[in-house]
Amino acid sequence: MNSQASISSVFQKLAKLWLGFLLIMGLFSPILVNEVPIIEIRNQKWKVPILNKKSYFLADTIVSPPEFVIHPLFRFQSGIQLGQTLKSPTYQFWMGTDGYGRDLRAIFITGSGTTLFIAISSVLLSLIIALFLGLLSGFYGNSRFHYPKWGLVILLAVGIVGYYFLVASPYFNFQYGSYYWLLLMVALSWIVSKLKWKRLVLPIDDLVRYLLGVHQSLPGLLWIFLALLVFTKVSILTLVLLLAFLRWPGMTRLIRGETRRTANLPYLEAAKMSGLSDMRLMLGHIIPNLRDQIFTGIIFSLGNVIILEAGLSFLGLGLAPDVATWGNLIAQSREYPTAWWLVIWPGLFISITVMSLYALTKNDPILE
Amino acid sequence: MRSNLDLPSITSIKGAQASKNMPSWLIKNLAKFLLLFISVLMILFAIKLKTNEGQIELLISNSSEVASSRTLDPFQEFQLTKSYYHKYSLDVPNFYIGLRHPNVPDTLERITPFSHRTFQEALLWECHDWPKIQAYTKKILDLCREISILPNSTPYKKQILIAGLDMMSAPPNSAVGSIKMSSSLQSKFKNISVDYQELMTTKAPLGFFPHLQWNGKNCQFHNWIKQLFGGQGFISSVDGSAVWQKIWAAFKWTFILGTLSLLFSFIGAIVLGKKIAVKQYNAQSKFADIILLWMYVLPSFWVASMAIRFLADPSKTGGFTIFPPGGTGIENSNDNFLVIIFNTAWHLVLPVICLTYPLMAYLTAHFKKGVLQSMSTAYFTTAISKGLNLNKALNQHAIPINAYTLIQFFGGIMPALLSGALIIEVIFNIPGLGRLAYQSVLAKDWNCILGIVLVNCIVVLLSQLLADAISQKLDPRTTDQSQ
Repeated sequence: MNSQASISSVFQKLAKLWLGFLLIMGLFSPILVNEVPIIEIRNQKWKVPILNKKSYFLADTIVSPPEFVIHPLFRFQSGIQLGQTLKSPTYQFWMGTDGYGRDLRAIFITGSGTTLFIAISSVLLSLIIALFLGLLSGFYGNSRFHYPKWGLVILLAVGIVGYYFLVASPYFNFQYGSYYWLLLMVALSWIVSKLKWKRLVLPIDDLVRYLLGVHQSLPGLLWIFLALLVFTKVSILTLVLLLAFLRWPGMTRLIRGETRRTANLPYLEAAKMSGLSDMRLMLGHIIPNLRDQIFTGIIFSLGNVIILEAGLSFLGLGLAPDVATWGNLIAQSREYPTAWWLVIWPGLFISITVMSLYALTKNDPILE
Repeated sequence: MRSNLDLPSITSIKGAQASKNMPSWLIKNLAKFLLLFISVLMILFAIKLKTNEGQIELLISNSSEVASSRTLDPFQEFQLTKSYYHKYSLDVPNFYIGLRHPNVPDTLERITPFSHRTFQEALLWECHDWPKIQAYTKKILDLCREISILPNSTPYKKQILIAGLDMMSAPPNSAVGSIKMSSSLQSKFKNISVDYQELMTTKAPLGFFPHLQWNGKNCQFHNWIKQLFGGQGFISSVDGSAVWQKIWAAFKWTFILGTLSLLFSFIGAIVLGKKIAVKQYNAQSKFADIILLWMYVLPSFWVASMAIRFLADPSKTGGFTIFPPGGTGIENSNDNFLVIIFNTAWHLVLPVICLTYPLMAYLTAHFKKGVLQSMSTAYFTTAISKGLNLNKALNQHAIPINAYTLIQFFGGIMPALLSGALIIEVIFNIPGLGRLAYQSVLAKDWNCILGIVLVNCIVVLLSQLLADAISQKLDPRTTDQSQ
């Protein structure tokens, strides 16, 4: 037992090292990999070209050589480098080069930044959605969410009429009419909920489960295909939204289940007895208790999202093919089947990263 | 406190009774099925409305009539476009019922193509006077018709026509004066631009309360549903072939792939799960757990790429050539039947392995957990202490129960299986639903994707229904989750 514990702790340490390494690579990727020098002195003038690339290229750099230069670790040239495309690993490029002639080490560093940014932001977005829906459905269940009966009618009427006047027709001709409408609806629903009218029980848990059911009735990739019909161009923002859309049901299920479990614990009963509002119960007493589960959920979602993003890039539906990401490298390997280094490295990085994420928690990712 | 005796609790007895009351259970599940299906249908309709414009452009540009008629002048082309809008019923309101502003006519949707409609709507919100706009556009159309009747030898006829038609979707352009034309035409063009200036200065009173308008069956939603389920006119926007036939041809391959990998993953899960559970404190079991985790984590598209690179390498650049790199192996159909079967099976080995291993890891872990739980129950201990050997006790008291519970996962893993099949089919070039969807996305073939999405939705929902039904029929312990 002792030896096993020590083995797993060694694994954990290695995993933390790897993740920290990746994070540092991602954060400092503009300094580590860049096409312009970090600092240079030319004609007794200091310059920091990485802050303003365009003006560096516009300036005449050939006439006078700089007196002092600090180059980044790898000089990453954008555009196709005809001389060095598809070099197999050698002494100079020990990870090889890709179809555009870029050093794979440089792509690994910049790609880790892109991948981590996309993964972390989409998981945080899905966490926000999941916290909202999961807490609502888990805390109130089907029988405890009351709402003024006539308030619902008012909301519906104001919603339709307000949509008509603010969004659909040109009376006010606001530029962001739909945002005003959303704001109006949120504010109105909050005000109506404070009214002391006769109340109706809303099956909020069933509503959330219905949303989950709709999401589950299609394979995830087909949702992405449908989204690609609407947004024709994929940018980092749309990718983050898409991945968050794919991940929220899993997180919601987790938080809903844990909230249901927590809501029946004695300490919460006691807090309820002392007359705390529902909002304070949820924010101050349930969420702190869900800390570990939320951490586990984030870790597993991160792993999942990294694989998904790579899969999308692999199909050619992710970011543009010349953007340096790990998935785009595997996608290139379909074009150049003989270049084995384009297959092995990114796949290894992806799976090692996901494994090290999973090593951070004690739970079994498969059973979760 | 958990008692050692596993007596059925009150809730599970209730559940057992509920499962015997089959019709009400069935009605409830069918209602759920229909609700989800209709929701997905509505989402698809919303996406269809969003993509109408691009789709009709593709349909027109790929249609045989347009391709064969290069000699049409712009006005005839405009009329042909209008006929296409009518054919695909894009000249009717969206839904059975709708709100309409009092200044907007109920015939606004009849204005096609979309560029003309948006311009005239914008005009309407400038001057609020529909009859005047109608008179204005009628004047332009009359002028265009007049130009198109002119003999083809007329100089600059095409340019004049294009300039005339442009006024349907944009304000009159002063550059028209630079085209050489007869003085009568020139004065007519001038007339129209004067009319436009007048239109811009008028302001009719703007109505306030919207009307509720009943459109009846003459709406896009009704026609779309008729198209989807009647089969008439539901054609691919790229090559004009019938979508359902295309999907049926592709569905067979996905069905074969999916069934094979489901079968292997379930069998593999039962065999492996039992073996790992028996040796729960062994080093072998720990090792197996790690292998399972790796199987779960390794992305299947990467493994498939590696497999093609190193096991199916026809160019012999460092890999073996054991398997074919892709395809289905029935290209030459005059072979012997058995040869075809064997060849196809040989082609499907790698895809099925790549599709099976993540599912198998998932199911094995769950099955192992269930078997371990069963092994710690009182009845299992009793069976052992009565002298049954471990293997027999497992086969009689632990495996069957957990095999039933494994069926519950059938509905849950279906979306993952279809997603996986999509990528695997693309990599191994198997003409299944996934590859069809991928090709349709790349070619922007909306109708085909909508059809595929519907088929996938039905398959997933039916498998969930089936999994519920089987597990309730076989295993009376399972209670209805919603109760």
